[in-house]
Amino acid sequence: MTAVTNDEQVAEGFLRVVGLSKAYGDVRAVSNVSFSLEPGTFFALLGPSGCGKTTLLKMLAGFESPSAGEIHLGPGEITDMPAFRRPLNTVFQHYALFPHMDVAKNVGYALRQQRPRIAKSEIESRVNAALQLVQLDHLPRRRPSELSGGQQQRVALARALVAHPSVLLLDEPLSALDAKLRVDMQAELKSLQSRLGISFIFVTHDQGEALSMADRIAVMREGEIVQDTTPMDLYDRPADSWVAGFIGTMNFVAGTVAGVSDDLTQVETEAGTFSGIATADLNSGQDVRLALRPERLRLFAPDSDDSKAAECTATGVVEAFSFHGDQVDCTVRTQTIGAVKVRIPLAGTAHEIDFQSGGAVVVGWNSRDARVVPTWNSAAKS
Amino acid sequence: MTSTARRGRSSAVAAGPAVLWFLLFMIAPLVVLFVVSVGVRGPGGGYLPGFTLANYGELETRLVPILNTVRFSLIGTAVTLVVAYPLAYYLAMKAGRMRMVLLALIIVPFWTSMLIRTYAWIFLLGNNGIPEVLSTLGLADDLRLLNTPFAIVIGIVYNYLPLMLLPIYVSLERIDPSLRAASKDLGADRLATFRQVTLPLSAPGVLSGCLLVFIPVMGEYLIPVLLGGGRSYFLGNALADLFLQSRNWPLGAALAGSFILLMSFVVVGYSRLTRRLAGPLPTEGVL
Ligand SMILES: Nc1ncnc2c1ncn2[C@@H]1O[C@H](COP(=O)(O)OP(=O)(O)OP(=O)(O)O)[C@@H](O)[C@H]1O
Ligand SMILES: [Mg+2]
Repeated sequence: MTAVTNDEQVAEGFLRVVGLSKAYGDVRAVSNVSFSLEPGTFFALLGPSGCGKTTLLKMLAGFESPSAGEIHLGPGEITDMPAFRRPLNTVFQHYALFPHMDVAKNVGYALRQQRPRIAKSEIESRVNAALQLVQLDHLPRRRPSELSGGQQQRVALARALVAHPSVLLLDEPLSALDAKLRVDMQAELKSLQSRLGISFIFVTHDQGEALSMADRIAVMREGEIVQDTTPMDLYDRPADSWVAGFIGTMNFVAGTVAGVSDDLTQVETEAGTFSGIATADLNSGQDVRLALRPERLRLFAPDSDDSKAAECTATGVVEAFSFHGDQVDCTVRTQTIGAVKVRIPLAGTAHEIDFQSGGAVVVGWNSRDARVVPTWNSAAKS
Repeated sequence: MTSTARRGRSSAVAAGPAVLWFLLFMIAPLVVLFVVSVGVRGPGGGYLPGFTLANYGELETRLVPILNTVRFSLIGTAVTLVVAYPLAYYLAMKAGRMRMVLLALIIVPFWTSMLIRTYAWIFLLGNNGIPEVLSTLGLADDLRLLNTPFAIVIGIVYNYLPLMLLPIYVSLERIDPSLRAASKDLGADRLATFRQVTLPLSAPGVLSGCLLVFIPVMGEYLIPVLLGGGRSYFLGNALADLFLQSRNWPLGAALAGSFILLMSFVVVGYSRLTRRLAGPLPTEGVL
């Protein structure tokens, strides 16, 4: 991948969105969204229902016109370009296959629209190539109604890819598939994307899907992008308490910023002062949460000497417990910081611990494993 | 096996009243019609029993009303389609929240009698109606609208519009909007999208609308009399004359029977054809 930001020659598939907003009456569906995409990025738009993902995608595709902002693709601006001229294609949530056309006709649709006309033989070979890409070249004469959900999904993909778009937009493309097929299609989509080398903008409200597939994730909330980063960074350093709770499982302890030393931030809580790594700029006295991932916590027997090794501890009793073969999830009711979810591998010290409900345990962690995130509450914002 | 047999028998029993109904109201009149059509005209008119095919030979003397009827039915259906399609398109795609109100406005007038509605057109097309307005405005002088073929077509379009409009509206409304979005996304402009997606997907509505209009117009009696001034003689008028004026029942029966036979072929052929083009029609099984 080449650096293009300072380059005169902007790459063909380089997408740049600046201050994009869309208001429906009083509803701000998308507000002030900006991001840039290098060609070949698998970019996930992740957020809860109604946060504006589809609206953002529709503006990129040209189905909705923005209230404000600009969209640039390659060297040109496409903000006001009608949808049928944009070199972006969409895979719709429910595929939107043309029911009156067979698979080959569906896939060849984009090619038949092009002027000057493309020769029939070339259309045929490109349709076949696109169908091979999704392993459906054996079913060109089927109608969409005669295909399974997964096959329809593939036709929709082939149809959107046949004209070689520079960016592919996918609106929850896997949500209509069952769990098993979903996992297969995730892997297939990912490998397809890296083979083609074009950008995919992938809308989902499934965080697992986003984490496992994307090169970059933009988390959306109430029409805004809250955080735009790599999956690992997003998981490790969530920008605020809302993102921290939205991605994976998280334990929170409420407090205020007491001070900063080195790269650690001290948080004063009802249970005493704890330290952690701040994920955003914080002011002294600001409302924050100490955020602890279950897998970063350790469990000790109450009288074990090992617990001295942990920088912070909280004693409590096991409240709930589930066994997953290689690991154990349990909820510990602590005396100081409330209920805490803990996930520990079964290898190691687990055999010493009394996992019976009501069994006494000590939860321990190191300050470097704790995060300090600003508290987000929706009421304060609006 | 046994359960299927039992089910077969019990469904036959359940269908009994329906079969009886069918025999009484559908088959019996046809039998009567056939018997009369091979009889002879009584001295003072009416019917005397007999067996002759002469009435069928005489049918060609009634060729003019037959051709008239077919011609006006085809033209009337075509014009109704041209008027109804844009209207249905507007209602289904553009009308938004107004659509129920507009649909009601179109349908409610049809709860009044067809006779009254057609009389209203006599006034509108008559010398004190539209022609007068046009000549006052200096747009046209001495225009004659009433008692012309034009008036008949107007009558057909006005009276049969809902039968065309509703099936088209339903088929348009059923089209998933994301299909049109997909078409545009793939590079088709509005016109290309209409031609390749909207129109083919509304074809079942168009085809059944045409059938629903064509069939009753073929049997139309009132419109040619009231708006055509009796000059354009329809099959329905010919039949009324044969039975009521010249009292030639056997010839009338032969004409009516042939007409029913002809229409059956038209309907069956049309259904076959459209099924191949667009799948089963919503009207199938009704007609
Ligand atoms: N045509 C419209 N008119 C008015 N409001 C709209 C319209 N489309 C979307 N909205 C509103 O804009 C907001 C964002 O909607 P959008 O469909 O983009 O959400 P989403 O993130 O795709 O949600 P989901 O995950 O449920 O698909 C919602 O509050 C929605 O009600
Ligand atoms: Mg959506």
